[in-house]
Amino acid sequence: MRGAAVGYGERAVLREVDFRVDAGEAVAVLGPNGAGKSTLIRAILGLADVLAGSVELYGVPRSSFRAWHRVGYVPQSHTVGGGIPSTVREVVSSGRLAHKRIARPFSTTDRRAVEAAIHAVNLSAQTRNPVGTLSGGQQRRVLIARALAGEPELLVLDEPTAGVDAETRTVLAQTLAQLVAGGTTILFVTHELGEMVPVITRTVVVERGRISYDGAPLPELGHGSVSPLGRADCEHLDPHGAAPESFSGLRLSTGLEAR
Amino acid sequence: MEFLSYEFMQRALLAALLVGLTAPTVGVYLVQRRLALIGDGLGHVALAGVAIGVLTSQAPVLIALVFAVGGALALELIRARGRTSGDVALAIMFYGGIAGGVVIISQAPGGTPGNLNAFLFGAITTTTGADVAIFALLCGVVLMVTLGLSRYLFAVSNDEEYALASGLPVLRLNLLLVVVTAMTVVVSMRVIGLLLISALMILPIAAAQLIASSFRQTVAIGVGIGVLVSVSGVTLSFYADTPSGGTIVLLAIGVFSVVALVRAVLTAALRRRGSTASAT
Repeated sequence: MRGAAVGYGERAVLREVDFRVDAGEAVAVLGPNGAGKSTLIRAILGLADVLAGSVELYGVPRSSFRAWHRVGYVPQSHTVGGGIPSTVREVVSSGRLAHKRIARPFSTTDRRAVEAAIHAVNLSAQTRNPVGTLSGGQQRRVLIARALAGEPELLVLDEPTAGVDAETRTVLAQTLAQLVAGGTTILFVTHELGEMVPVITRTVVVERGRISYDGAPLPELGHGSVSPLGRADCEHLDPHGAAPESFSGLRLSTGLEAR
Repeated sequence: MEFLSYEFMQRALLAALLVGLTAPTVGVYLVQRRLALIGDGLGHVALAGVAIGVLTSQAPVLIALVFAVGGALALELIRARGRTSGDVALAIMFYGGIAGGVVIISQAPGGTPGNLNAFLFGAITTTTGADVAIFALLCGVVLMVTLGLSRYLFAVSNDEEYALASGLPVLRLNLLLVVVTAMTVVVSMRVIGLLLISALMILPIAAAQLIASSFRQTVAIGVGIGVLVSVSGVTLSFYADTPSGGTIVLLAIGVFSVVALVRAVLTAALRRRGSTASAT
């Protein structure tokens, strides 16, 4: 993203954003509610309007980008689907469609990728179960498996750990760690780092529609390292625990602004 | 089986079979997208086409098809561009279509709104051989789309935002869905009537989702119920001398009620057994 203003309709949520994610990075996007974290990733995915500047994926302007199979997305929703029952396999199979020409039947490779994605989130025993009968945490894992089924090079997740059980958080952290080790690029929005701390290689803080910090992961900052914007005082941040509701850790940014 | 010896009943049963087979395969996506009433809106628009057909003495089915498809495309584009809400667009269609139909038919020689009754509530025994041929062709197209693109239509109706982020052609798939909905409305016009068509798209699916455990199963059971109520409704209407459309819809409501009741009783029994087991 270069000098990008992003929003919905004519209303800009993010302004003057310069942001780049390199291959193999695991980037956590933090910030208070309404700061524009989700809009940042929605801009990349084509779900928010670029009002100024430019957004590119793999060197191609977003508007003409076609290789969407390279990008996986886990939305923020807590539940899956509408009123019609659908199985875990049916939902996860949707994640494979970006790989296919329209109306082509699924190949053995496609079916294997779907089963592997379900296995990766520990839901193999529930493959034929209707997703509506699963717990909230399991449904979130179904959404993660759907994104993994496409075997993406870049995985974008919006609040993947919000409101989910400890097992799901652990499974997610393990899955992301394996993906990062395998070279997948990860970009995720979160309120709580928790189990994700060992996974992340970089942190971006969004505040009031602008990026106020972009650098080393918060744990290093918490031990007194110097950020590109100045020294961060975030002793009050507990990177291993859940952040408070309003992400009081954002006092970090206040400190940065007051430098 | 006396009724099978009449040619008009053979045509009627064939038309009913086509409608029963097709309507639920479209309805499943409409229910999933919470667009259950779109069939009603398109039926009203098709009525204006029927009235023009009557006024100009041209084939009402084909003109109704042109109107319904045009209305469907306009509705989806209005909804997708967010210019006005889907509800408002649907309301404009409802009232514009029926008002246009009534006004236009009044201009036909000897025309009264009563002439539209056969199209509003179905008059299956008036189905001609040419009608059945057109219906078969349209049903073939509808089934090719709804079954051939089922994975894509499922992905879009299940999570439109995810489908967009996956680069799927969401607008084109949505346009395709409303076009096949319009085709289904026109096919069903003679069998069940423009005012009742939504019932055959929605009720079999509503019943099926109560007992199915997957999307594919819901479609299969929904189609089974659709064919059952259409064919048996036409047969019943022959013996009871009742309008086919109303008979089919009442049967569909009956099937839905029985399935809902049986499910509620079974669920309660299972819950009781579970609580007894945990108490011991």
